[in-house]
Amino acid sequence: MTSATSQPVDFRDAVDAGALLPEERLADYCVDGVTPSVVVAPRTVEELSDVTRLASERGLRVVPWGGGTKMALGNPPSAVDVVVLTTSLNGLIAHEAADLTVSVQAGMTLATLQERLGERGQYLPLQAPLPHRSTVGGILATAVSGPWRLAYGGPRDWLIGSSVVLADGTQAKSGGQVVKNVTGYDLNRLYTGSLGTLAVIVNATFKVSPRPAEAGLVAARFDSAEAALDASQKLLGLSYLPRALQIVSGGKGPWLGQLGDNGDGEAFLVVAHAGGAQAVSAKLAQARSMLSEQGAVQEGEDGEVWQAICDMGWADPHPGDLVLRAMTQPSLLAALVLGLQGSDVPPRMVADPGYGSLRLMWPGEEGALSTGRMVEAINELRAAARSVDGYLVVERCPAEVKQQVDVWGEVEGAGLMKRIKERLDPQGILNPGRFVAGI
Amino acid sequence: MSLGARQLVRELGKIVGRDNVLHHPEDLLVYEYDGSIDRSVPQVVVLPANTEEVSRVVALSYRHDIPVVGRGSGTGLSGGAIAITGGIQIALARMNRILEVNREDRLATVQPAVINLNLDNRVRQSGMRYAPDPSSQRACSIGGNVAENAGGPHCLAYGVTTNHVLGLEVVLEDGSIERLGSRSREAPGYDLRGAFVGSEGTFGIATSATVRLLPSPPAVKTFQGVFEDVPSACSAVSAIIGRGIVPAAMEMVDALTIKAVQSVMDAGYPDSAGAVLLIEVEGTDDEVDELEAEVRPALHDARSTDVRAATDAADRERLWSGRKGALGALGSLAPNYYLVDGVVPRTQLAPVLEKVEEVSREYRFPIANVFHAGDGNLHPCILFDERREGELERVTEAGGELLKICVDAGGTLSGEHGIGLEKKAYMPLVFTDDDMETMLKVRRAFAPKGTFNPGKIFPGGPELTHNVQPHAVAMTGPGAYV
Repeated sequence: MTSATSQPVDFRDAVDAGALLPEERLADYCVDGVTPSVVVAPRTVEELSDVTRLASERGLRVVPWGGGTKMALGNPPSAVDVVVLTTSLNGLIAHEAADLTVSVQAGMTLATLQERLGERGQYLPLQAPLPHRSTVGGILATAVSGPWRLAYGGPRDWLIGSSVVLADGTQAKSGGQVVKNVTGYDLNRLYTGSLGTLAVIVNATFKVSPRPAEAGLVAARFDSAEAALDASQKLLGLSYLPRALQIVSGGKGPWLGQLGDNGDGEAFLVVAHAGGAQAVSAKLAQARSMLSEQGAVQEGEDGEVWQAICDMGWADPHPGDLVLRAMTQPSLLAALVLGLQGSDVPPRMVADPGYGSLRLMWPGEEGALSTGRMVEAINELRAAARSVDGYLVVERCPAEVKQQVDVWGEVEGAGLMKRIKERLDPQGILNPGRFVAGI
Repeated sequence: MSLGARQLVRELGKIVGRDNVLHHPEDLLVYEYDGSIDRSVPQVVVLPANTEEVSRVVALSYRHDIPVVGRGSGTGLSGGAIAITGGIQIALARMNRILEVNREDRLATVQPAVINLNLDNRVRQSGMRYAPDPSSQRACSIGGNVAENAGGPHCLAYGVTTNHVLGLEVVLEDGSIERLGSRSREAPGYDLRGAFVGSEGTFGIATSATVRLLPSPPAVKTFQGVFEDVPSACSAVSAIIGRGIVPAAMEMVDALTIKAVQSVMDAGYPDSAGAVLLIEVEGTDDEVDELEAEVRPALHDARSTDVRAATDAADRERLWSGRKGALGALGSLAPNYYLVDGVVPRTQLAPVLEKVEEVSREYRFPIANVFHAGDGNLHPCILFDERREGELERVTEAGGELLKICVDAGGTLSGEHGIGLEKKAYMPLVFTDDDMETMLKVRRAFAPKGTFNPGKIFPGGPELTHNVQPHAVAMTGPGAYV
């Protein structure tokens, strides 16, 4: 289904013909089945600004597109006229290693950034699904995070400056190059997680961290998620927090990677530590000793399993997949996890009991749930999450399901959010209809 | 629709009780100043007891177009709590209870006037800590910390206030009450909470904050390195970072500050010291040992002439005493000082300090420097005597020069004190009109009328009109802070 444009627009006024994708490629840039009329890949911020301005002058709706790994996130767009690719804006602006800061263009992938930082023994303590495709801009726009969030927080906690292009093509910046900054409003935080509905992020400056000297992991297999949760509480009650702690269960086959298959009802607890060699060794030893009280401990190489956990629900997508994310206070997460046990169709589950979040997946290729059952499950789980003051977001689902549910659910402060949207994008040019509260 | 003065007092009295409305000049004097050099008197001060009262006061002010300025402890250093156009000052002082400390979820909920250190002390009893520790923490309030996105020495490792606020209850300009953020670490939608922190009281008044707590580290070790000059001390800072570690705190004081400190207390600084660097590391015993194994050689390689380590809590107090007493000690050098808050990339600290020296010579004011060396946040203190004609004007000019130096070095106008009244004229050094207009659009979404804290942050708007003879505050004695 193509959306109608109001009138034909020649984007060659804004970019080289070479930056416009040919007609046969447009179908690669559908958003929830809506094909754009134009896909443009600006090579400079000026070009991106010109494209956006031109689009907004004609009332055309714009969808920013980075690595395209999470375009399924959000409600179906009310219209898509122009897809603006950010991937040509992928340069390193500056890595000030001695200051522990880095500035990059938003189209750089996370993997490339980590490689560049690694050359100086540093890294950005953030994880994302499909890091070889996910762009910095997309990671910020979706505020996605991985298991390291327990120790390091998410993208908002590392972003210190940004430049954006607003809906009318205006370029604006906030923050700066310094790690402490109370100069003007912290719009960086507003842009992060805004799903490209307030602005297109073009540059980002982050704090970075020295790479830890050592990192290690301990995993244990438990008879039940409940037992794993109990064990996790003990680890989380120590005088230091792990780098990451996840409870993983459900599903068959290699998705759990090196952890191996788990039997019905079983769960793995995986915990990581990082830092100096001695400290890490001592912490892992303590974890091993505490976990062996109830579970069967196995060693693991730190690294791959975390990426497998991040990638769950985003890698190898199938149109029938149902992927959900719940957030609540840590103490209330157990109720949600335990509520899922004994389900006739157990999902793959990744729980972050220290942070208070949970991700679930029913793989489409297993075809276990009908559309109707999916809608029921979403509504039930959302009600359960709301009853513990939490939220449930549908990250991915079949098109028929998206027609019947709001993927975000109700949010507090919706009125204020709409007011912010109205001020920054009065025409509703950017990603219309995809965000919370109908934004 | 305007309201007569007496009627205003009466209406406010109906909301908070007559005893909690201050309008006589002698009662208002205390609210004339904060920690900065500006003074202005509000028309009336109210002390509400709860969110409901705050909401009703704000709704009243909205109906009658009366400006509103929130006040926590009044310790801010950029004029944030100064009511420059009169109006209603809402002093949150009576809302000072810790409402909850939750060990399992590692969070606490507090009313806005809870004193920062009181919160930390309270949660330490449960094995936790509240990490943002501005140097004014014995006096400053959490509400004020939220307004200014306060930092502190330990924010080097743990982040600033915005990294620790989970949720806020705020009263917006029309009196409506909103919840921003959530008790969970994440929630869908825009990060309204993140936009609010550091908005300097221009978006609304926070009436409750839910903050994140961290486990209290079992071991702490504090080191002091003495250096011949500031550049050597700065190279020690770089060396430590270069070894791949980020200590919990790294603070520095320069020769003039050392001289002042030694004249009022024995902080153990040698008189000839050019700079003293204080480094603190925290964690498990193993972690602290490993961190020490990096810190000592770094100090040694940077040619520290004297390295000490605290062996117990009393020792730690003593090592910190010089740094914490620095500002109070400046009174021994001059009757007044003007405290500048600048921030630069940490590698620029040494070259910027040289330029600070040049300004000192050019304007003929001694400048004593105290800084959060780990994150490039410097506090040059310009020493002067306000009784001498023209000094205050020249000091303000010199302060402006220092800000320009910071911006030129890749820094910005404020690391932790906020823009407030003090620096609004300098915003165009850092932001374009488009940058500022974008910020103002967000403000108008929160506060379309703009009755909260007018005249702050952005150039233009109302200026200081009341009591236009600002006096620098001579804050000597143990309570002074930077």
